[in-house]
Amino acid sequence: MHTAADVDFLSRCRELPTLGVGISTEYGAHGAGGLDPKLLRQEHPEWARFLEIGVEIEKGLDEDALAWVRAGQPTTYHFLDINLDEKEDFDPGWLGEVQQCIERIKPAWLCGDAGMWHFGPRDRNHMLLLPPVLSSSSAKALAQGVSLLREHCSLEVLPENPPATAYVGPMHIMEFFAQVCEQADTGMLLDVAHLAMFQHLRGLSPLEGLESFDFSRVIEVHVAGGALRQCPNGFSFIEDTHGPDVLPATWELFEHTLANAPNLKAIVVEGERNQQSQIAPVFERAQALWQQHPAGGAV
Amino acid sequence: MPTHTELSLIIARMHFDAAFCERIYSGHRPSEIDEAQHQMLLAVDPRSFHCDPQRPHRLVQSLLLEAPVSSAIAGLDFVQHFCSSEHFHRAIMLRTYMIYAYLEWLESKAKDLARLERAIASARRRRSSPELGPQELVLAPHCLTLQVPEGILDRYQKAMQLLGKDPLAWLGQHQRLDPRQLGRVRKNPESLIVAQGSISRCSHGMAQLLTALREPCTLETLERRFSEELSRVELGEILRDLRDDGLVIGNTAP
Repeated sequence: MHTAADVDFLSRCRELPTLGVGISTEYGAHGAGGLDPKLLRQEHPEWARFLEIGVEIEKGLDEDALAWVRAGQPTTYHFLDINLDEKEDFDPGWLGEVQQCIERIKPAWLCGDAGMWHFGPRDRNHMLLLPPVLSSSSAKALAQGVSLLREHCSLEVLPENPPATAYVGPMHIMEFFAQVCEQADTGMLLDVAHLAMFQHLRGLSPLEGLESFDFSRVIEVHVAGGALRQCPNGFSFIEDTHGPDVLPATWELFEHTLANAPNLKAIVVEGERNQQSQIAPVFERAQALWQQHPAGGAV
Repeated sequence: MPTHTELSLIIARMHFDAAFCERIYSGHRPSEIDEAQHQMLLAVDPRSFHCDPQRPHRLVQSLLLEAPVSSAIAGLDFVQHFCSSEHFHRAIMLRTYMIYAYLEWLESKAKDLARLERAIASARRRRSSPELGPQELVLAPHCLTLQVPEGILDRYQKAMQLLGKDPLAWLGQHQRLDPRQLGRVRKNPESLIVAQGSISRCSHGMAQLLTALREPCTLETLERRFSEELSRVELGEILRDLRDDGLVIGNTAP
């Protein structure tokens, strides 16, 4: 890979492979009754061209992920345990194990929610996922973390907009990620289901506030089911269910992204907790829309 | 000047403690953040922090499973309030291990059993070994010594037996473990070696030797320090055994 120092991201991203439509997994997802990546690839290779492996270093890789890797099939590495905006989190022990994992699964790139995955030290009792504070100083710290991880791993690192029920800070989340992308000179993983959650919380229509965002930075898109919920206190939010029911706002954002993201390389249907028959319609629609993308025909 | 990190930690605390959240919306500004950051919080709908009311319970459940005996002695009603405690909030801001804060909080109820479970939790967590110079030895990172009143280990083992394989189910049924069920504690002190997955008794002298080995030291330093208690040969034999058991590591062959 060219380093960020000699070539800018929009040039570097041409070297990234076009992966097409893929699936996500986390440790034990299939064993808990979820999607079988191997079976899906056998029956619908066009829906499972790559596996996005959710990695928490402490847990390691499960047998489904290892079997996929042994078969030499494409992967991406989705981190689940790094607070990118905290320097303290880049401890040598963790970085060393990430490097070992990379050598094992040979991902096309690293990606993952750019939020607080844990408070305090990395520990089984500390896990959660909160979004970053949407301010310029926080974007700067996050950008530094992205650069640091990219330099350490010699792979592109694509931050993802995280889900939440509470976003603190004056910025729109896409304005925030625009700053991160520019300062880290990177691309991003846009989760349109998470973005729909944000838009709902801020009382915005699906495409409101996206006018000035440069979609050429979007390399990967996630699409997933969600559910509109209401708390007993009357507060309304969208839950990131990863179920088979994708909200209309999410599809609208998905279509808008595909129409405006010339450098898009990969789409993940996040349905790892579902039976194949339940989630099949989401794959069908995502695949059909991907086929209409200029890169879609190239896979 | 406070950074986004302090604000993020305050936000984390708000997700776990509804009363803390309420204080912030009543005008209380935590000292770790400035007025502009406080205003950022106030601009968000307060209800948005309580969409997952089970979050604090999941944390307590996770801590309870790691410290079942102390939790059982304190009782289910008590431990449910952990996320409102100073210990919880301080641990978040200081970015320390929550299990340590939890067990320090429980020390008023479970006393030496909480200290023992804290030592077990500490041994379970990986720590990096210090840099060792040539000829230096040190206590293995997963090993520590603890002095407790005699009988504490027996009480701990009895409590674990009572709680069985599913302490949560036991507590759901009984609410609280009466410490009087666990037998007596004597006044004499007793030394324990707590390593990953094992607890054993040891002599006072052995505890002193292991305590000295918390910091890297050479064989010569140890010989000088324990010259009255042990001959050079005896010390060498003990250190060899400790190395064979994985309790001491080092760059020298004693």
